[in-house]
Amino acid sequence: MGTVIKGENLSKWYGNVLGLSEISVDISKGIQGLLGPNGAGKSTFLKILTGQLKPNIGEIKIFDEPVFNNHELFHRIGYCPEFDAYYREVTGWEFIRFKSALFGYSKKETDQRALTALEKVGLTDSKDRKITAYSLGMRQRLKFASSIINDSDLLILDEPLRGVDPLWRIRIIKMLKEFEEEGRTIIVSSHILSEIEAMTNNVILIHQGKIFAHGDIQEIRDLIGSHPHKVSVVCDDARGLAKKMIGDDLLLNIQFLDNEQKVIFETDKRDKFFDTLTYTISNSTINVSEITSPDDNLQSVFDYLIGR
Amino acid sequence: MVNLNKIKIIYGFFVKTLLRSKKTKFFILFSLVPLLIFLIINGLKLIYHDNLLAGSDFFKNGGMPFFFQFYIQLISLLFGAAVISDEIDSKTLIYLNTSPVSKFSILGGKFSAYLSVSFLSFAIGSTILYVMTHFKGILTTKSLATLLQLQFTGLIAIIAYSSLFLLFGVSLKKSTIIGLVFIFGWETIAQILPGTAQKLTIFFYLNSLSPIRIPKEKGILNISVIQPGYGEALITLLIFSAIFFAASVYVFKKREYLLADHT
Repeated sequence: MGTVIKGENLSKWYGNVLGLSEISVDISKGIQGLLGPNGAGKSTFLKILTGQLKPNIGEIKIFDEPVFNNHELFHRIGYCPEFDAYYREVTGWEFIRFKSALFGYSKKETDQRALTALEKVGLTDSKDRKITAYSLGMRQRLKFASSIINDSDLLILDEPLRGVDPLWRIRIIKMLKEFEEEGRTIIVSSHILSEIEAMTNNVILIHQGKIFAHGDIQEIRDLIGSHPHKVSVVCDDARGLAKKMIGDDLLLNIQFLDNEQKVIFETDKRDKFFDTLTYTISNSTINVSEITSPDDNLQSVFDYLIGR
Repeated sequence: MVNLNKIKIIYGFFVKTLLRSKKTKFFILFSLVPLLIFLIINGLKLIYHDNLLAGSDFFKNGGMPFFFQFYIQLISLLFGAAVISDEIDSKTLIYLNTSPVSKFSILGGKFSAYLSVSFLSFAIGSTILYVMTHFKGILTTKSLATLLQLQFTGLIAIIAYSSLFLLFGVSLKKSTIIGLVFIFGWETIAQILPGTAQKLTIFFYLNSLSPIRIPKEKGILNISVIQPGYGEALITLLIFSAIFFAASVYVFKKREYLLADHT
C-alpha cells in the first residue's frame, strides 16, 4: 500500500510549551485512529497535518506534497475540526453550500454535493434553519457533512463523534467504514478508546507530544486488562451488592459513598469482574441505576502504563 | 493565485452574513445620529420660536466631522480589523484555511465584502443627512455632484483606513486597541504637529478629496502644510491601500493562527 501521509521528526513548540516532540509517521490507506488523553498533542498533530501550523522541526507530506500554504491539496482532503465553530448568521444549507462552492464545482454540482452531504448526516429537513438553532449534535453532524462534500481521498476528523447522539454515532462509524472500503484514508482522533475501537484496530497512541505506541488496538486492550480498574455502581442496596461480589478473589478494594447508595469496586480482573457483576445483578432484586467505569479512559491507561 | 470566481463566492457569503449581523445594523442606525441631532435641534428651535439652524452649516460643522473624523475611522477599524480577527475569535478561520482557496482569494473576497458593507452603512447615513440638510436645492446639478463626490471621498477613506486596519488585524493580537490609538492618537495629534508629520496620516490626503472642507484644529505655531492636489491625494491613498493590502496578504500567508489551546 502506498504512503498517504509521511511525517519525519515533527516537533512543535508554543513558546516554552512543547506540543509535539520528534514524531515520525507513515500512514497508508484505511482508518487510522489517533488516541490520546486531552492535551496529548493530537490536535497539534492534526493542525500540522492540515497546514494550519508549521512544524518547528521536521517535514510532513501528504500525497507526496508539502502541506503548509498548499491550498490546492485540499481538493483531496476533507477536514472536520474539533471546535464547535460556526457562522452565527447563516443556515445549515448556506454554510454547506458555501463550503461546496469553494471547491469550484459548477452551480448544479455545488448544490447537488451540498444536498447529498446533508442527506448523509440527516439534516435535510432542518437545512433552512439557522445554525444557532441547531443542537450540539446537529452542529457536529453539519461539520462532518462539510468534510465529506468533496469525496476526498483523505478525511481528517478531529473528535468527530463529540456530542453526537448514539444512533448517529453508529451511522457515522458505518459511513467511515464504507469510505475505508472505497479505498480512502481516514484519520480519526479521539480521547475515548471505545470510539476508536468501533472504527479500527489500527491506532497511534499520543502522549505528552510523543508517539507512545503505534499498532493494533488489541495490544492496548490487553494492557488495560491487567490495569487495576475501578467500577462505580449506583443502586438501592450497595452493601448487599458488595456482599454478593466478595469471593472469587476478584476485588482489591471496596468503597461506599453517598450514604451507601454508591459502591466503588477495584479489581485487577476486569473482564471476569464484569461477568460476575452482570450475573449477580440479574439474579438479585437489587435495582441498579448506574454503572460507570471512571478508569475506562485513556488518561488512566496512560497513567498506569507510564507509572508501571 | 487569483481566482475571481472564488473571490466572488467568498464575497457573496460574507456580504450576506454581514448584512444580517447586529454590528452592521448598529452602524447603520449609528450613521443616523447626526440627522437625529439636527432634527432635535431644529425641533426645539421651532418650539421656542428661534431661528432654525441652517442645514448646510450643520452638515459642514457637524455632519462632516462626524462622518470623516469619527464614523469612517471607527467603522473601518471595527470592520477592517475584523476581517480575520472575527474568524479567529469564532474559530471559523479553520473552514477557510482548509479549503482549496488561496490566501489572496480569502482575504480579497472577505475584505471586499467588509468594504462594501462599511460603505453601505456610511452611504445610508451621510446621504440621508445631506438630503435633509440641503432639502431645498437638492435636485440641482451642483448639489447632486457634491453628494456624489462626498460618497466617493467616503469610499476612498473607507478603503484607505480599512486596508490599514486589515493589516493590523492579520498581524496583531490587540488590533482594535492599536487601531483606536492610531485614529484618536496619531491621526488627531499629527494634524497639529509642526513639520510634515501630517503627511503620514490618511486624514491629510482625505481633506483634499472632499468637496466640503473638513474642519480641523490649527497646528502648533500655526504652521500648516500645503494640502496636496486632488489627483496627488487620490493616488497616494490608493497606493497606501494597495501596499497595506499586499502586506496583509503576505502576513496572512506566513502567519500561523492559534485558535485555541494547542496540545
